[in-house]
Amino acid sequence: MTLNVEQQVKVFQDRFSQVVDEVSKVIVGNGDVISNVLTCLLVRGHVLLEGIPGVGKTKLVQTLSDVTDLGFSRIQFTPDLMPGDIIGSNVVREADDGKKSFVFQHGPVFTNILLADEINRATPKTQSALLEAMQENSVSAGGSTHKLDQPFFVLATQNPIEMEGTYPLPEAQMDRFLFKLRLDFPEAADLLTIVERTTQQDELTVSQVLSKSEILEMRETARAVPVAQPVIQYAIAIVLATHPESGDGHDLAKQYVRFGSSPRGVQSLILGAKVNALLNDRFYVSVDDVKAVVLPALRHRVLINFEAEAEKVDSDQILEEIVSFVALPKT
Amino acid sequence: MSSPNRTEINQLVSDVARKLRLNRLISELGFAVATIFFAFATLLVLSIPFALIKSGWIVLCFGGFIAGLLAYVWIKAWTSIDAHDAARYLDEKAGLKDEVLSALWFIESERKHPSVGEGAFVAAHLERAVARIQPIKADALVPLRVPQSSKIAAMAILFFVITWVGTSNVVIADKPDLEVRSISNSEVVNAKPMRALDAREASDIEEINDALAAFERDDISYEAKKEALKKAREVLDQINMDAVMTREGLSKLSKILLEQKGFEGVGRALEQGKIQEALTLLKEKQEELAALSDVDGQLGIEEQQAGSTARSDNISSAELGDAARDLLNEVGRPDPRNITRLIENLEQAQQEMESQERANTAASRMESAGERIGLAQTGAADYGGRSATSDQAEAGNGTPSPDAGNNDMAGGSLFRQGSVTANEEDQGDDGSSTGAPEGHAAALALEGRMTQRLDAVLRLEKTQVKGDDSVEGDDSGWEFKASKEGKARTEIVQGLDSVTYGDSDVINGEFVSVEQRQAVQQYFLDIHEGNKK
Repeated sequence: MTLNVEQQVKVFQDRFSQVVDEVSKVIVGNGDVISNVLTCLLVRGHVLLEGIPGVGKTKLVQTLSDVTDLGFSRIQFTPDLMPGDIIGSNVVREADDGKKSFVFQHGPVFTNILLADEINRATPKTQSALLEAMQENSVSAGGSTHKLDQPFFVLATQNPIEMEGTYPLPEAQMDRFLFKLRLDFPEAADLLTIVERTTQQDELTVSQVLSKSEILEMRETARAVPVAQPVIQYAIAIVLATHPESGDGHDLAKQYVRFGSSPRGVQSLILGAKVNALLNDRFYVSVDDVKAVVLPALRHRVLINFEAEAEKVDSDQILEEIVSFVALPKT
Repeated sequence: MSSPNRTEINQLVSDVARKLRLNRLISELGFAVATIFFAFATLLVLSIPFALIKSGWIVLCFGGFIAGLLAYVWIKAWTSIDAHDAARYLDEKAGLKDEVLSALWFIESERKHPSVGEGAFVAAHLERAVARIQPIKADALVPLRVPQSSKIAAMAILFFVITWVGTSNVVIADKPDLEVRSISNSEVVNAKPMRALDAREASDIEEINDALAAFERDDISYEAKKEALKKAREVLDQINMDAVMTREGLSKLSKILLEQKGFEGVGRALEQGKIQEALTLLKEKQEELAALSDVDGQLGIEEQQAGSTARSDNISSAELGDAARDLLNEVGRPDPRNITRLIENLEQAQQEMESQERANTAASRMESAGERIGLAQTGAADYGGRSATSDQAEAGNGTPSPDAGNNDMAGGSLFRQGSVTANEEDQGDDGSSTGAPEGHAAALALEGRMTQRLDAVLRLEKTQVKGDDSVEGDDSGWEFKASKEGKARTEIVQGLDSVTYGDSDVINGEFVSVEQRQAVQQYFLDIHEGNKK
């Protein structure tokens, strides 16, 4: 049965809200984080979750895997973790006839949803093992390339306050994440709900509401949303404004930014805006949709300098200023 | 693909764009008008002669400026707003979240790349955009309104009008051909009625008479009398100043008329100060010119054909007309009416001269009366704003003092007379022309009154000279120089001298008037006479 556009959008919205509602049964508050995580899943992106211990980063990912019919793997990143522990490695296997051969043993990366817990605790070498998987959706090992099953969705978590024994993610690695989301400490009312839900005899269970095929359909729908060139130019203008060396760079960027956003930033803006447009019942992307995803899409791509750290200016502040400054460019 | 739906979007966007351009044009025009009028007003304020605008290149420059400005406004208004701007405006005003802008872009892209419109989402997007804009009317969305700049333009026009009105009189008054500020200048140009002038002069003389009456009354205090005298003197100074200007005007008018053929007699009469005689001659001339005009009128067409020949026959009257025109600030061909105005002005001048005579007569009586009661002399404290308290010798108590220069005071004479006994031996301590306060100088009392100190006569004042250590004693660091009143009187006297046509009486360059020379001469004669006695 072929659905028309309006029906497609309606189905998209329904499924999306179903997942959000289901996850929200376990994750209290942070509704926008749940939406953004799902957005990344629907536009073939990956998410970096940042939050202090105990705010439910890992639980969110686990719950998401529970409500979807997707394979789930979890890797606890530690300093002694090796790339082979993630990707897998060639092992010698003896056949029944006694012949020995090298066989590629799939690592935990071969899954649909991969939780890279405390990713900044592993060495950069190990962290980089995810680079190819995240960007190319494939893994090279032992002289051969192995395609990853779709959808492949990495959710990495990191603790921003525990810096000892950690390895900050390299810029190239950070750039692979479509969104960087922050889980804030819950409000008092949310805490009360959390306590009530988690201290009862019966453990909360969620039902599976989204199949793999439905996710792939939603991916298609999201990608089909058209974007007019003026809106793309607006997204480009925002990205250029983050560049201190650019003539279009914002004054704050020139003062506080070491490196501006990469071209992946524009892609992230547009992709995120597409899902946002669908959720707002639009068949096109508006400037407001772009604005809505500026912070999660660019905050980890704008690298602040020492002066900004000294003055406690973070990338969110710079981006908010840029969004208020940049106007829709004339065509 | 060009469906009616797409046409609707294009139509609405173009309507909105046109209206936005129109509003922009009106707004920019307001600024342009404001700029132009402020520029004109500034020219007026800067007193650039407006007559210059008549010259070709100025007109060209201004015309070019205005044309350029208007062209710039037109281009700016019409090119600065395109369809996308209109679509943005539409989205913003109708709350459509960039829907029209996006739809417009897809419609434009569809023309270049037809495949763009084939996508299901694009088609749905355009269809929904059309549905959204159906109820929107361009007129309601972009109403034609009076922009803020129109207020600025109105202010500029108002400012220009005020400046124009305000500066027009100044421009006339500053014309070079009115350098002769004669009798007629102040009265004719300002169109002040003669009756008003008479009233002013009558009130002036009344002021002097009031002062005169005040002196004769016993119930008025000394200070009040002094104040009345001061006011009367100010009035007298003003009358004399006006008279000086009138005489200057008459002098220059006489020179002009002396050079005019047929008006030499009038000029000579004015030169000799015989205004009445000049008036008589002018009236005769006026009658002659009137008769000549009648003859001209009878000649009619013949004279018009004669052209320049006829005018050359009438050259004297033409030149006189020019002179009268310059004098009266009138533009036009010479005719008896110019002479009439000249006569009126001369009569007015004559009246002013007579007023001055009356005022001076009254002033003379006033000074005599003031002298009788000890007010006529002017103390040194009255000059140059010097404080009376700083110099005890010149306190206004009527005490004669050589330092104060008020040794001619009647009060001072009485003081001495009262203290001098008959046949008393002269103690010889009367080195000053006044005599000592003890009153030993009986023989010098009269001379002391008669002989004023030269610095008082010439209205000199003592001025401290800084850094002059060479001079010692009481007078160290001081010199005498003309006081303000002395200077003013000198200038008035010079003016009077110049209009009495006795240039030889004035030593050009040094500006020492006959009056001052005579005062100096009289001073030494008085001393000499006093010493002989």
